[in-house]
Amino acid sequence: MLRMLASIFLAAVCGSAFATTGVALVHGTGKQTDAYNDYWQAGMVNSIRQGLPDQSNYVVTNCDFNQYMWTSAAAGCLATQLYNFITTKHIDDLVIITHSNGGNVMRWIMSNPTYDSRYPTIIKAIRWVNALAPSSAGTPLANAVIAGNVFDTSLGWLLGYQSDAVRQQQTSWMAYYNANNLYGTSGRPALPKGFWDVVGTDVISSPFNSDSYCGGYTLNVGLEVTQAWLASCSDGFIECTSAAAAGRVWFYDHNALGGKILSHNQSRRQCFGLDVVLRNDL
Amino acid sequence: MNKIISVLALSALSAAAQAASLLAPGAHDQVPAALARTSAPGASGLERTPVRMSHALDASVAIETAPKPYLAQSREFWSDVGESELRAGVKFTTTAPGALIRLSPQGGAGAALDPAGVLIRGGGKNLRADEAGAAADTRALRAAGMDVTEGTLAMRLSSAVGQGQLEIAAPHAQGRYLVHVFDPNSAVVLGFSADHDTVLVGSTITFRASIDGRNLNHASGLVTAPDGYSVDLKFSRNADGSFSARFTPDAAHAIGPQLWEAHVFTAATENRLAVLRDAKTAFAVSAPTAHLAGATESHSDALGVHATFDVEAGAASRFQLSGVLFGTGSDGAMRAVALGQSAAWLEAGKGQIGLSFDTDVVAASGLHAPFEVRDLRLVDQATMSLIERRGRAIVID
Repeated sequence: MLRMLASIFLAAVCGSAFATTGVALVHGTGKQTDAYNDYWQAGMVNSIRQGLPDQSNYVVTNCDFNQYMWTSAAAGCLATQLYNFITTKHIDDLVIITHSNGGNVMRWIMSNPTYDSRYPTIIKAIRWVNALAPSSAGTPLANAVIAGNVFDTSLGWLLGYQSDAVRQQQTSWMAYYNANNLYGTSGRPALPKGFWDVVGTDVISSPFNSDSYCGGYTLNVGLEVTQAWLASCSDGFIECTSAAAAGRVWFYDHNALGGKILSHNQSRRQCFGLDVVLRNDL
Repeated sequence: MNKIISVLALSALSAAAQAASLLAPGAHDQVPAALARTSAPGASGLERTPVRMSHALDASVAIETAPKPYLAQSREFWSDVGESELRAGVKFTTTAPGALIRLSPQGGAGAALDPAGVLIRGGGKNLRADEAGAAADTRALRAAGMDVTEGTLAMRLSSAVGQGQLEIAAPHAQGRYLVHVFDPNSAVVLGFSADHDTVLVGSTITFRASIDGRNLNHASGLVTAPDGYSVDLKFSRNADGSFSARFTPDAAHAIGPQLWEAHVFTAATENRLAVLRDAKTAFAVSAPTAHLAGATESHSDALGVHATFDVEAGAASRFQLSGVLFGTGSDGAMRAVALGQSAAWLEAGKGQIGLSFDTDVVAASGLHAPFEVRDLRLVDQATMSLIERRGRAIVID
């Protein structure tokens, strides 16, 4: 309902008939050089951009999100690609779709507009952010793999095997950043533009259930085990409370996808009509 | 109608600048006592263009103006064991069925263990790991997004394994392993927190560890800095059965925005068995490269409400001020109007940074004078570290 009101309000205020609408897809943790094929896959991207008046007004960003969110390789890279997209294509009505940790990098830009003089231009162009399974409050899985490193002095815990992005997504770290460097969580000022969460609530990995195979069966097998580290409501990587911690909940998977649920990997794939929901939102 | 009243109220504000001093610091405020005189690494590469922005806030949403430190809760522990120990069997206690056990070899994939070669013993049973519950190897865990080390094996014990004293053994273990035991259904939960989330260099932060309804038998721990520095924490027992430790960081290791961590390793007793719990929390260490110098100036004009703050920099950098403008409602209650943010490069010495809140935003809020700037924060953008914060900063009549 809130989402519907936001749409009506923006249509009235922005006069969207004259706006140039674009969509940007922002990947999650990892260093991407071809996120179109490797992270989102062509079917997902091409289905979503069918909702654009001009289907060429899309960008799939490729950055190094193994780094901390504030670094030039992460937020700096993302800002460069968004800024170039906005200014080159004259986009003034930008819908950003993030997945997982990509939501944190996007929130960093939206929360720290004074850090970089390009950030206000980006923020001004944004209609809203659709955050798929954002790790807004971190994940206990990051705690689990990082915490053991303190014992591993022989290899040097600082050098670590885990990326800085994993370290950053520990729950205590995200609690700090949410309280001090990021906006949009409970008790904090809201973000300057809407941040709408899509929350996955469970994992199906039974080989006898066809839902397990969407997005790749092998990806879901591990999620079934990792889910045991998490609260009862989770997508196998992010607890529902984390996915819903920043901005507002747009929908919980089963409420908008005909009762289907999205595992963490399925929330970036063409599964159960998610692509159509995102397309229709443009 | 409210909007019209607010426009009138705003225009009634004095166009002349009001000079004032910052309000006295509150109990939860962070105020530097002295200035650091060294610029943070990377400061010289920062943006030099001043940027100022504000956006409207929903007046019905409460803004917390005092810090609320994170409370870590743990039902788990980690242990570093050698191959001889693991071959013979490592005992551990669970207090509920359904524990998760993760074995991570230091030797990488060559020391990986097959579930069929890992034994779980307890309650008179001697089960292979693949009989004791579900297992996932490194590939499956990484595919799920859990960035475990090479050779890791994780298993979730079925309820048939039971609880209490269990033992894990791997006759083919090679080298050292990290054993991670998570007891997700346990009622024995260690809580661990700091008294505040940011500490200025030279100030002290206090950590507290406790388990509700139980006395801790033991607590030890350490602090780790982002640059790899670590130092032991000395925990002492409190009258209520909890443990506390104090720590004072020095400037040499403060390289934010990466965080420091405090780790605690504890033991409690359950049914005469030792129950281990480890936890950690994160905190920031800030070097006070600037502070609010005390004087402020505020005024309103056709563009909105403006507040300027004197800032004294100990070292050149780009500094950001942010603050939430609160206004008065018809019921007399103060509610949030807008968030203002402003950053500028300051050389060492005295300077000013101002916040502006647009007329349209203030008018649309339906709120009127007196206004207050709350949750005022001064940040050094070279480290994105919080230097000073004030729950209530100024009143604008």
